[in-house]
Amino acid sequence: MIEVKGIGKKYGRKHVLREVSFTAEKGQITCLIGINGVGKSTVLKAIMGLTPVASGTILIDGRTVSSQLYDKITFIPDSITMPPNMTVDACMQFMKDYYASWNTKRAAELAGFFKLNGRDRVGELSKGNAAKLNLLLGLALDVDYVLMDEPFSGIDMFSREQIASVFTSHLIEERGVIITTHEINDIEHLIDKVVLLENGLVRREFETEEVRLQEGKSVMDVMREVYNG
Amino acid sequence: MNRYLKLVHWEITRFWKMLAALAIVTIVLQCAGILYETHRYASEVYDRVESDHSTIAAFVQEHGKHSFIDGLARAGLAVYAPIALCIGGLVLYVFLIWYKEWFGKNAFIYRLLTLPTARRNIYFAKFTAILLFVFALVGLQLVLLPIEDGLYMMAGGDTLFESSNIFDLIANDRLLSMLIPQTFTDFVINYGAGAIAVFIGFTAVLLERSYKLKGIVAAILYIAAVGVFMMMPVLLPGNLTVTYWYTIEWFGIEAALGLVVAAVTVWLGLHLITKKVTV
Amino acid sequence: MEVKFNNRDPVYMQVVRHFKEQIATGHLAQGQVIPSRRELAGTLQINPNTAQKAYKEMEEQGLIVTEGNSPSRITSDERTLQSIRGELIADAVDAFVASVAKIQVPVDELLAIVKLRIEDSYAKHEAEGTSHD
Repeated sequence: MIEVKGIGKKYGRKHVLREVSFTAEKGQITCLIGINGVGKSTVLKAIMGLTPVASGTILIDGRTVSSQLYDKITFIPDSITMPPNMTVDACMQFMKDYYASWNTKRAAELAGFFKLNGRDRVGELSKGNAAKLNLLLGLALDVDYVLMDEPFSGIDMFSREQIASVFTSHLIEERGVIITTHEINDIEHLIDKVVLLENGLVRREFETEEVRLQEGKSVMDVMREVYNG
Repeated sequence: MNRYLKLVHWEITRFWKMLAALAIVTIVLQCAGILYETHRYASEVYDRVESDHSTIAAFVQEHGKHSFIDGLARAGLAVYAPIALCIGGLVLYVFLIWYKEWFGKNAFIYRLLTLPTARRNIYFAKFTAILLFVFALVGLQLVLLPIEDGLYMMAGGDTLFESSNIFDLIANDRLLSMLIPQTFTDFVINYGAGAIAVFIGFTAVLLERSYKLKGIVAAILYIAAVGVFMMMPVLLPGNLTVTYWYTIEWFGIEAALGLVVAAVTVWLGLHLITKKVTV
Repeated sequence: MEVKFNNRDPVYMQVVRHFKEQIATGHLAQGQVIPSRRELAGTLQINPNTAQKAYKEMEEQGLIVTEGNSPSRITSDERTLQSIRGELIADAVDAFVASVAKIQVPVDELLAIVKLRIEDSYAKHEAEGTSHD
């Protein structure tokens, strides 16, 4: 379980996060929703230890993040982070060199599914293919937790569908997943849990099926309530 | 350890083209400069001999042979400019080796900081890489000098030119003797000071990457503090110190202060990269 | 298998309902092997946890049976299968009655309209069915 307990962060005088607390379970897809600039990415970076927080604590299976945990948890940022002159194959080799949790078989499977060409260079990939490679580099790791920043933004329809289908497959199953998004439409059915962020606070945290069952509301309905009401 | 070595290798693969470019510029410029100056000197001498109705032998009798040391001095800029370029390039790279990780949308720093290895390995891999680049270029220069000497003799011939002892040559040249020290003590002083400077550069970058504008101010203050700290023996009241201490004591004190600075700087750098740095 | 989900009812209940419709219309026969929950999640593009929950619900209702490690099958229990059809019809009619009751239409008139509409609808379905095949 990932436990985020009362984290706060300021950029200059602006409070990006005031007091953010939520949990994300293993085996579930938790979705951080909020308009752009609300600090969703900052939360993911803070969980990964990529940016310090001013207050609060973050525990991953009861431990604070450290370099030993990077074989247990991985982060897929909203754009690929490998140098542009590297080939797809070189990127995968790089991952294999450094990560004990790299799963070569799964990487090959994903490369086939996404139809990525190993000799293509990162800098020459289309937006959709870059997003797929980015996803591949994270998902081919046998980690317990995967954090994804806006996996669906800025890519074509077909790539979106392909990426969405990853979420319903064994690639995600049994892992704890946190994704951020500013548009919920395409993925309402994919997620287990929603954390609504606004003004650096968690406005609501709920299980999607629970809200449908108890209140007969869609995620959009709840968002409308929270943001308009 | 394993991943540290891999990271060093990674740093090398990402800079070797630049390093090769610096090496080629050095080789080409120095050799071309020496060849050009050799020919120019030779034709000057021939012109003079001709107008004086004298002979080469008589000229050499009077002025002596033109040594490689003199040749290098005449080539001047062609020899020293590439060295300056290499030094400048590496000094710049002390900063770029960090900042390049944050460049562009494809910021590699995300990957680098989430490698399953202690972040100090990243820090020391970058430091080791810089050190290796320095040694590579200094080594090149050391190998290049005798080759250039051979080239000098080949181009000029031994009637008018004579080769020089490379060690004398280095000892007589302020820049070269700084890069290639004659004694172990000098080596420790020069390269120790260089290493501390690199550590300070790293820490300054990490301060900026952690605290942005405030970090820059902190870095400037830190560098000033280091300067004052190192000057402490001179700044102590009474100013007796300079005359009071022997050179060896002076060296010992400065070395101790340098060690303190190095330790604090490295500690601060490692603290920043593990706890404070932000992508 | 293409299912249009609405966002307000629990997805797992919509999946259960979808299976009931398939059974009632004979698209799924008694004893037929059904896809694994992972396959189902893939084809319906839903969360594997939801597929799991739907299967659990269907097992509790006796719609499907799973013996040991073998794949799940549609039940062969006639009584359950019969009741599904009745249940679906009752649900649909209840919903219809609830919304139409407010308008207070005389029964004969209503039945005539329903008859006309439903015949149209079946005809259309048939036409679509043949044109597709």
